[in-house]
Amino acid sequence: MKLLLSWLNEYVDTKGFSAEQLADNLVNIGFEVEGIEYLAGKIDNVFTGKIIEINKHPNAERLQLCKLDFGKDKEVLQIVTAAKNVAVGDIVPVALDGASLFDGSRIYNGELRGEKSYGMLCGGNELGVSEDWVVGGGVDGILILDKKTKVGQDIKKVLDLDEYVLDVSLTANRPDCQSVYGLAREVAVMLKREIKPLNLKYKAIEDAKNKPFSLEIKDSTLCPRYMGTSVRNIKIALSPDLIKKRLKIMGVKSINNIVDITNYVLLEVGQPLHAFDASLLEGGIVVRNAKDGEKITLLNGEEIALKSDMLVIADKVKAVALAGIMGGSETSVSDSTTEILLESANFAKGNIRNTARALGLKTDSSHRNEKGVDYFSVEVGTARALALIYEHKIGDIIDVKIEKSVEKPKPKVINISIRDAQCASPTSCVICRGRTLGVQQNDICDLLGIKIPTNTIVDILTRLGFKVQESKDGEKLKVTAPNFRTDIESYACLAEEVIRFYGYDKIIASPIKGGEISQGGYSIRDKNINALKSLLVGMGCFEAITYSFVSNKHLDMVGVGKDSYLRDEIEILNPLSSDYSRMRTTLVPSMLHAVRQNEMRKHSDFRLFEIANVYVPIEDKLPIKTLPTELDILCIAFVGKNEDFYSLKIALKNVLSLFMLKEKLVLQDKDFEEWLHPSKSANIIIEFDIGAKNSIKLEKGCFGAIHPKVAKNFDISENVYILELNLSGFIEEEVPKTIAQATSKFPPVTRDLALVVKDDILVGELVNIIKKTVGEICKGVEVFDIYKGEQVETGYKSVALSVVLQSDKATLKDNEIVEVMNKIISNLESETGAKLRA
Amino acid sequence: MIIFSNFCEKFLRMVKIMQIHEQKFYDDKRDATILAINKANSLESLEEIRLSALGKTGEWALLSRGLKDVDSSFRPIVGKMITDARTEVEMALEDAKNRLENEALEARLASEKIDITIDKKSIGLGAIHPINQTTKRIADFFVSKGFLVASSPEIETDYYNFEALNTPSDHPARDTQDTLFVAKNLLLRSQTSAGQIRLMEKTKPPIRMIAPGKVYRADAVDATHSPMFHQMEGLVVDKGLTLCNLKGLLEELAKYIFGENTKTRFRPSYFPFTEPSVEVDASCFMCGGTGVDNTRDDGHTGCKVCKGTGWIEILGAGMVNRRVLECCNINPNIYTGFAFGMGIDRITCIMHRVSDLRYLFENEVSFLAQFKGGNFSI
Repeated sequence: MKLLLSWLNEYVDTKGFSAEQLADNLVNIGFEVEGIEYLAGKIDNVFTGKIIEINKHPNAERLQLCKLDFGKDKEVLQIVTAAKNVAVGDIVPVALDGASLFDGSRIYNGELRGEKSYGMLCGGNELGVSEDWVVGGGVDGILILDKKTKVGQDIKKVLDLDEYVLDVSLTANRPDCQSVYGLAREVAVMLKREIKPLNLKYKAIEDAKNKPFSLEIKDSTLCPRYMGTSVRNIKIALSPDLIKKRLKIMGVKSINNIVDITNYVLLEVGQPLHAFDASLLEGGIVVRNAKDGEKITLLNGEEIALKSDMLVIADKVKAVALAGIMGGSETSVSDSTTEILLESANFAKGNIRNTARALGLKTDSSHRNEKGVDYFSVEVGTARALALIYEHKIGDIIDVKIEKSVEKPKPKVINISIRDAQCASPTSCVICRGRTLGVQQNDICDLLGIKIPTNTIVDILTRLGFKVQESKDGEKLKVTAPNFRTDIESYACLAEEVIRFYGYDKIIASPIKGGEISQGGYSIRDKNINALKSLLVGMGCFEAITYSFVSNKHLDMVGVGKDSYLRDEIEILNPLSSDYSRMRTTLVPSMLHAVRQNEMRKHSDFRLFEIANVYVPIEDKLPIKTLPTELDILCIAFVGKNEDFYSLKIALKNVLSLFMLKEKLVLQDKDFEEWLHPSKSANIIIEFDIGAKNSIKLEKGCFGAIHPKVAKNFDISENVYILELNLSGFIEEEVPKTIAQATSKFPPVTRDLALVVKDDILVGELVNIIKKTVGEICKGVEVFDIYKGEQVETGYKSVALSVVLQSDKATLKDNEIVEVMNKIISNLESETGAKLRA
Repeated sequence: MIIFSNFCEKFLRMVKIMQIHEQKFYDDKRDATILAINKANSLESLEEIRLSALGKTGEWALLSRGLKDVDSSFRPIVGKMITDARTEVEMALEDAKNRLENEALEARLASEKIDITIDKKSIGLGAIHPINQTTKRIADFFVSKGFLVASSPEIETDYYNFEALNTPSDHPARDTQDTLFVAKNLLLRSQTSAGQIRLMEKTKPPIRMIAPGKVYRADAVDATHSPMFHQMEGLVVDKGLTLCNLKGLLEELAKYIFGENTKTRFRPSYFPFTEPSVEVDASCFMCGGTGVDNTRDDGHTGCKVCKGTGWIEILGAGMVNRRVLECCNINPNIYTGFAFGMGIDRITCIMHRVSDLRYLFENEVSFLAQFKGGNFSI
């Protein structure tokens, strides 16, 4: 909110405090000041002058010599200008020797092509004023001032620039401060100075002949209070100068004296007002919900179709205003208006907000009504507007008001208990909470943790407008909140009021004492995730963080089928854009997007991972009505020519090792997601023990090379290997403890086997057969060579393996080894047709 | 001829026999051999010398064999002279062998000299994302103080995100423009404070917890805004907690994050779920709270980190609103509490001087690779 200091000073004297000091003070009592604007910027030594003579520059065709008069007893000065829009008799701003312009640039006497120039004629640009501010301010050339302007005047005064404006940001709990007067109350307490009362004096004319308008409020919850006052014999004209000037500074366009007063009062006391041309109202006022599709043309010229949840002010025939937001143009005050109905009302803030949002309207009125205008401000606003109408003799105020109000809200009363801190049983007392201080203690001090003398508390609250009474026994303070403080609820609120003015710097940092030591620490899930991340970082992966919401095109880009479960994406009802419109069901598209970002920046070999949630509707039902399931998902991307399916497979096995699941991994070379290369990918199946020697096989993800089509869609290389693993189900579980086995004391024996098998026999199958055949003395099978080509028949491959044999019980004898090896060979042959290579 | 040669042999033996009674004879022989040994420049030539001196048919073997011809009364003396000289030759041989082997090894090692500036192509160390490093760093502080690290859903009910936090639907603090909804009463949590309520509902005081996580708001992406960002909520509920305790804890936190000399200050603020509410500033770690940076070379002297104010806004906090406690069935007449919430992304940017929030979400590896160092990078 803009706070014009000269306006503020009308109600509280801030003499002795600079704008900066006031701003600092406001911050200390909870009003953040986002900026201090001095309207004149750095303007200095710029005065008005009258051009009394213009001559051509003898040496420069484009320059002119002007003679300027600055009034009696002042020297006439010659100034050279290149501007063409000046004429004899014009009054213009002149920067004199040593002057400073709005932006701080300096002007000095000088010589231009042999002619002396004692300053510079200024345009609006150099003075920081636009056409909105002053007529001629936007002209390319010199600012020509009104002919009536006196010469020799400081331009800051002439253009109303000698003003400070603070940009104060208000917190949502202080709707009472959304006005000059509201902030003046706070400033007065802050500076310990008097707040001057508002001028609310006016005289009304008794007019028995006139029947008041009828007033009907359909739903008093939406409009708890409505007050209308008639003003007759109005002379519509321009506003008085002070009102015009203040509205201009506050950025409000001046229309005419009546409209200006409604806006002025809104800014001054925070009560939105509206003036209807009474002659255009047909019958009385009805405050009602709009009919669906009902139309109204607003003051801004827009015609809008209304909905039934929007509140309107209507007459007997039509809607005449969008309640609390904007008036209608049909009944608005115009130059020919002679009688008005001045509306001051109180609306339900939620309804105003919803309507304003739905229609995309943001006005000074809606802004205040959304935050809440208090019950009593309705009459203050009316009185203030009438006082201004009366003061400036704009019309006759008629002594009949129409008003409907719900019951007056009761003032909030909060009791603060005061007690001697000498408690009888301090250790068990919940009221004194163990304190045995020899001073008075009260609820406020309890919460703040410091001792503030009761009279200081009383003083601060009283200055803030609270009524404070001490009970006879001295055990209680009865605090009554002023009616504009709708935010006060409990003694905690009073504690805040007290400490705001007592000073937060008085709060003494002290450690948390006592209390049982709570069982703290990371959850198992967090610990597991941290360990997993360390492993991945050790494998050279960088952790990525991508947005949880994705584009509606992402699943198409990764080629996910129309009936895939991944299509059950939860949609955001009010997304920022279609790029962020759905909650993801897979991390892969976001990861591929990150890959693209990196490849675009010429990174060609890198590893990324992300652990994040996906959001799955319960029972696949969309749109969702209950909270979805959130699953922890790991996504890894290996990118570059040195990567392949197998490097990612190592990563997967390492990850599973961390959870003691490596041995439970089963790979399946089909049924994986469509973003993977059909021949270089695998489905990840993990066999989980479910007790009683039973297990269950679950699909937990898939990995492999990116499908070339997907690579093309994302405009990335084909050397991208991607893994997605659903961690939910084991990441939350404690990893089973290792049961250690004694290592064998007997020597291991290694035997190599060179086999020739058909091409389609999987190496893993050979390894499994060997392991099964050998049993527990098999300590490892390693494939060290696979060969196809010369010396191997087409359709066959040669596989070289080495088998490590070791018994835990004895040294293996030669004949035992030979026997085992023979068994391996015969089993391999019978099950796969493998033959020993010749 | 034979007679003559026999004579010569006899004569020579006589000479030898005369010689072999003298020490000098052996000294000379020994010195000559050792000289040859020391001159040897390869293990091969050394071996030749060894064979000709100590071999089966070598000089010293002959001498030993000749001992039998020596008069038995001289034999021990002569024998000792031979053995001593021979031992010295053997020692010289051993030394020479060691010398030559060392020389050979040194030559080999020298020939194996590598260029240590070459890097082998390999996968280096990765790094945890800087945001998560900050989260872990701060979470560790609270864990050390007995805080529980809790988590709660990212898609939340209106109740937990607003209603229970004393922000009813017509509350001005609730701006639908800022919150992303997925259903009438379901939304992407706009604050980690939602986790407070869930924990208070199922835990009895005393409570000490933090809840880090992702939060979402309808903010367009720019240098200081992101529709998804990270917060950490903290909550302490116990008997007799005061604003002074809140300050004590947060002052310690600020010192932990920004250094031992950090000061903190409270400014009044407003959150629906705390009363009184405060903004907490930490003195700027960069300029030490002076707001001045004289090292700038662009003509300005304002500290860039704190924008010349000397203070950095780090979090919002306050005493838990009585209504919030009541909402969770905690009696506010017995228990008080305080809560605080901080923007992890913002703190990350401040700590690492990241000028634009967007860097944190671009996931460019050359950016991320800068964060390999420190206790929290893995």
